[in-house]
Amino acid sequence: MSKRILCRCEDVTIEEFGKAYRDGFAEMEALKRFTGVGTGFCQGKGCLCESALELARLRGVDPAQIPLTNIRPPIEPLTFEELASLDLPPLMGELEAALPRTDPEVGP
Amino acid sequence: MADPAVTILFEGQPLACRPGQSVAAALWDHGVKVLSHSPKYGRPRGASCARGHCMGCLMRIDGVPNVRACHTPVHEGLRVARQDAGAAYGRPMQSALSGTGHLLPVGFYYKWFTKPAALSKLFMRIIRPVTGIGRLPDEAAWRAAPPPPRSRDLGRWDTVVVGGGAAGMAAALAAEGRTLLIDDAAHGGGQRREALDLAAAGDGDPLAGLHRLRRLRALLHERDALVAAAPHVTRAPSTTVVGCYQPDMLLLRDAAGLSVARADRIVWAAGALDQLGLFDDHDLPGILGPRALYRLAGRDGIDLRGRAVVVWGHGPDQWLCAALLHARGARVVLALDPTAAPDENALATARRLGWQLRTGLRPLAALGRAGSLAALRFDDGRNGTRPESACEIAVICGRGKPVYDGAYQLGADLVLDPLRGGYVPRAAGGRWDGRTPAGLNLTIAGEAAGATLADLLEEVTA
Amino acid sequence: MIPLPEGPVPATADAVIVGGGINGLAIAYELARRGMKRLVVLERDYLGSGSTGRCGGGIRQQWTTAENIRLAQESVAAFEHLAGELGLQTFFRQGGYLMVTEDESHLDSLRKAVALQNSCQVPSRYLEPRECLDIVPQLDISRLKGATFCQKDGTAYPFSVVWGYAKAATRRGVRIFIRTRLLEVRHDGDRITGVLTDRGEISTPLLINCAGPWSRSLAAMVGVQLPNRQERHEIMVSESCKPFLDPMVISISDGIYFSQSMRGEIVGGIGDPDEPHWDRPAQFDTRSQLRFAVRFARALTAYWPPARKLRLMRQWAGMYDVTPDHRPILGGVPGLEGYQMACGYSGHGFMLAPMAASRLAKQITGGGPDAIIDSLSLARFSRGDIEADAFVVG
Ligand SMILES: Cc1cc2nc3c(=O)[nH]c(=O)nc-3n(C[C@H](O)[C@H](O)[C@H](O)COP(=O)(O)OP(=O)(O)OC[C@H]3O[C@@H](n4cnc5c(N)ncnc54)[C@H](O)[C@@H]3O)c2cc1C
Ligand code: FES
Repeated sequence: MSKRILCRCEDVTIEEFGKAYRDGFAEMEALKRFTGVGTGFCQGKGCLCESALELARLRGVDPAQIPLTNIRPPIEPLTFEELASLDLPPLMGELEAALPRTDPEVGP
Repeated sequence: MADPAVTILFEGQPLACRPGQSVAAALWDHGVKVLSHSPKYGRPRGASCARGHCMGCLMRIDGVPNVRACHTPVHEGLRVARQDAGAAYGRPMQSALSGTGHLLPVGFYYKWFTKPAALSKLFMRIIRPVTGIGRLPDEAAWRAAPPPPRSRDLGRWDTVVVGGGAAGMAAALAAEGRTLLIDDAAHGGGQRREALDLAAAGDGDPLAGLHRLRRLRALLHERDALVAAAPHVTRAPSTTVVGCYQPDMLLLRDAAGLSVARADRIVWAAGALDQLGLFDDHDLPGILGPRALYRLAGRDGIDLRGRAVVVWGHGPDQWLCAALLHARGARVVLALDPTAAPDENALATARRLGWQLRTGLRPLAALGRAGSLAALRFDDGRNGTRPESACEIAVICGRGKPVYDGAYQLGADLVLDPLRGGYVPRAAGGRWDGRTPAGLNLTIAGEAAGATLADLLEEVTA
Repeated sequence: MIPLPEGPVPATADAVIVGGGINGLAIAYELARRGMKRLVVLERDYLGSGSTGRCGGGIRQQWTTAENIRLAQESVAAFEHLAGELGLQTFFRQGGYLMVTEDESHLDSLRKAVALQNSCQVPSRYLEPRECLDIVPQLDISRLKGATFCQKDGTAYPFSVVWGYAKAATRRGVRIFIRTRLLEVRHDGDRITGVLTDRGEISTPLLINCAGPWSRSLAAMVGVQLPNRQERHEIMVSESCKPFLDPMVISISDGIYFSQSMRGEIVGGIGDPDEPHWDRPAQFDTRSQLRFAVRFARALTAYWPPARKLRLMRQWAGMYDVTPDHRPILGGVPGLEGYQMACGYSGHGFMLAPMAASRLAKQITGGGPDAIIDSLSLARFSRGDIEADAFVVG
């Protein structure tokens, strides 16, 4: 049966996306988790932009008003084996130094 | 083409292939275009991006699930097989879902059988085997000795440039201090360089009348030579940025594994991704974008001789694809979209080389046979007519989609702008030059900033 | 289901609940179910954007204090019926929790914990390392010293629980305002009178602080000092594979936990003793670090070697809101009428929320005193009446 696929990894059609929107998932964060767009193997490379545009169309707003959902690292899947073989990088040194610590006496 | 030298096993059957090819390309050359099936509806999928993004080529390779066949080079005795995504109850259930999909409420698995508790529990038990793609790795694969820990800290650079295309090379040349130029191709000059070289070498000199592409080729060669001679620039070829961590850390992968580099200034010039549009069944194997074609016809050298290929769209990439395909022996059908405005020289080239030319078209649907592309159906703007073009491959040359993930991860402020192809720097003019909240000096340049190849060519001509 | 806010907030409300995480929404739902009207939930971002949407979704009854065991046990009973009650699947699956240790010195407390849990009718049991292989066949048991297991523990999908509560609450008239921030609290010293939001003023006699890691600064607005400390914790998902792992596996030696979601992904995290603690919410840093990915990958492949060939897809971070005794703070404070809270969950507020919300709502609507809420009140810290729970992981 012919379909217009919006998100390939999770097999979400453009019609399904619209239905979810009409079901009350009115913003990207909820739509993303409910339909699965942007959460598959490609992590949104093939569909986040397209979905946000479709949401802008459904809502009748300027696409610039659709907040970008967080794009977390990594950019490509990394095997646990290759990660484990890496030397341990430091904590975010500079950020840490810039921000004050609280009382260290309450241990974890 | 060199003689086949490597034998791989596809679902138990030996296939001869050329060393250096990817598994996806080797399978294509043996007529295997359907590499996987989609998780929910069991739709046939194949290599579509050839750059590791689209998931169409996820296969079980040497006992490991979900390996990207487009990114895995063949080796003697390699075992490759399709995975049965979602098919715990067999493909029939998927076809049933596919056929009735429009009747199912979206997210039905959220809504059905919520009570009583026992039924909800049973429902979880029934749907669980359907979830997930690929089975656990073979024991032999994970028991094999892990690679030894290694320290690959490339250290701190004054500038790291991500992307070795026209914009990235320009940034590296202009940079001050020790500069690292990263690109995922083995050759310098960006992803179009190889395609341009191959096209230039084709029968009948396809680039002869395509002046803008000739100029682009000269420019890429020139910048590449300058970069090679620049003492402050170190190249990292065949290297991919696989993650960015604030404030200033890049995680890189090459054939030897992962490494880390940090920089005072990062130039994000990672280019754009193919955008295939949203017509019916655009996910059929055989539908590609220009960047996928450059890889498959370039590095991978898939056999295109005598194949009918529709190249739809507008702009320089469309002409480069046509010239490349011609050089590789394909039968080219050039389908121009209504906005295309080729110059007389280009049209003369098309006529001279015997390309079939069609104008004023928009793709409506992909038509398949045996799971892969057989024809493209168009809308020609006239009521009721739906012309079709038989083809084995269709290359959709639309607006590129800027690659934004790394720039976002480093802290750039982005905005969705369809006129500039997707998520681009918020600042006016599409340029982003400044400090991230974490204090990194970040520049976004070239196609990653929403420019097009046409913009670049104009800049060069001016 | 999760409407976008339109227009200003209502001028008056019978209660304003701050926080669109599981606690705020569950309390709103429970209050509405008990007949309260004119309830408003304020959420600065989207539903679940705080800790709830970032959490591992783990639900266990294997605790070391009686209150935690009781709350968790009641919550598990609630989770068994929650999908039906809310009208949305929660993807609650009782694959069990396998708690392992590499430390000889933990064995005694594991055995004692099992005895206490069993006395509360929690069906946990003590396991020798090789018995773990019946539950997770590929586990590397070479360094393990002992384990406990409870089949009735499990996991649920945080977002669908949040949406379920939101949907059920909305159906009972609760008004949820996402992308709406509480800016100030109006009070006249001993009584709450209203709140100021970025969508206008609401006059209300009752403010319920369910602001998770922000709860300490919200409490400070009304002069209540909380002893909570905010800790950053990272977590990740892998690619999705066919089912291979039934339980949540957690190690009390190094703080790793991992389970397989209903989508087939490994979901897991690990605590980092070197993490700084953030004391000002404006500075909460939920950016990702490569260091976490490496530490997690090392621990995961050490416990469960098949993971070597699987892949990390996405990592993120959230905040734990940690109290000195690792138990939540529930209820009000003497001398300030109209102020209630449910916070300080110390990294396990997803699993405890359904029952904490139900008990707190009952008390607020005049259901009489509640011994558990009383024992978890803020006053316990000044009474010096604290008994820490030993098994905080992640
Ligand atoms: C990585 C990680 C893993 C975890 N794993 C588990 C687990 O497996 N099991 C478990 O039980 N728990 C787990 N937890 C803990 C659990 O997530 C929390 O205890 C729980 O979600 C707390 O819920 P909440 O509703 O109280 O707070 P939150 O979910 O944090 O909600 C508070 C909300 O208040 C909003 N808010 C704050 N200030 C304002 C304001 N001024 N105006 C408007 N809105 C405001 C915030 O935006 C936020 O959405 C984990 C936590 C983390 C970080
Ligand atoms: S991921 Fe291999 S073709 Fe797209």
